[in-house]
Amino acid sequence: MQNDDLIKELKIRGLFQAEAEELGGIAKNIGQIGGISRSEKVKEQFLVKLLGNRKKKSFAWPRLFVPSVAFVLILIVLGASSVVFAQQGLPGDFLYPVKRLSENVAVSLKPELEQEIVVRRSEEVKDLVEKKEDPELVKNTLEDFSRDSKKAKSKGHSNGKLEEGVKNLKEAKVKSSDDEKKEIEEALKKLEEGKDD
Amino acid sequence: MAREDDFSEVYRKYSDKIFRYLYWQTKNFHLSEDLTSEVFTRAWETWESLRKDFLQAWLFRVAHNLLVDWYRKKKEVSLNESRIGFYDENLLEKLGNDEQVKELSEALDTLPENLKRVAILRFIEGLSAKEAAVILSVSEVNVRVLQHRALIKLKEVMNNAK
Repeated sequence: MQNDDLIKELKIRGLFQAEAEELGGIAKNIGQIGGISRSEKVKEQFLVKLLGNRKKKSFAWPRLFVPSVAFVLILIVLGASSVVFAQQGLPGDFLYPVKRLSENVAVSLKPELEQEIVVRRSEEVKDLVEKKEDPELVKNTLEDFSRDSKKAKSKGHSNGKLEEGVKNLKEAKVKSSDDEKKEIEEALKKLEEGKDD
Repeated sequence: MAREDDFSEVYRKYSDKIFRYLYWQTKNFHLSEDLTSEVFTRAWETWESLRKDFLQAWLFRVAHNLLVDWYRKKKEVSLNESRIGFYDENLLEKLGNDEQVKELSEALDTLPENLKRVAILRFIEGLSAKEAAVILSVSEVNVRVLQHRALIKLKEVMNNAK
């Protein structure tokens, strides 16, 4: 208890300030001497004995384990689903960056897949043109097509598959606007030049 | 594990208070530790139904009742099987060698039991008059009267000791 409170209580009982303070001092002194404490080790021993293994296991790890595993599993399922779903995406789609990222990972594991990536770019150009999407997207995808096809050829991974890419671009050209036609022709020209390298 | 964690926190917070309450009355170190263990074993067994806003008073009340039983029977009260004798031997040695502690012990021993209880609860453990009243089953006014008498007696003893 607060010593001031005790002094007040004693004064209420009719003591003068000095008498109350003197008794308050005695109470304070007793409180200081009497405040002994047992060791933490003894307390821990009692708790472990009483609560058993439940006490030891009360560390946060087991409590966090189940939610953590569940969270990681959810992330894996969501991640895998988004990667699969992203494969249908076109430039400008929300999940398109996931598609590109998964392609990079796949190529890093199996470089031969680069030619498949080139065909994918050509299919994207074709689809964008058919859907009359933003010409800027078509232009960017054609640039990616040129860059990827050049890369595939330089590494000798263009066996046969590039013809499929050329076919897709030619089909796209038929349905494209005048500006897009020029860009597609430019991309095909670059590809043709690359063949001679 | 919230139940175990909550109980452990309460034990760490209040077990020294309960031990002191028992020790300053009995001067029996091992009995005080045994009864402290008993108080908290009972608390654990009834944990779900305990009013958490009334815990401190409840723990002191159980300690008080166990002590009254022990005085009445002058033998071991019925202690729970899970009571385990873990003792802080270093503290036992310290209590035996500390001159100040001895003086306090002797001064407290001059008080009648009812004054000693009030003195421990109010001056050593810092409980309010209301809490002490609940634990000792007396009125708050009675606690204030008893604490006044205890202080006058302690003053007298301490002055005589000088």
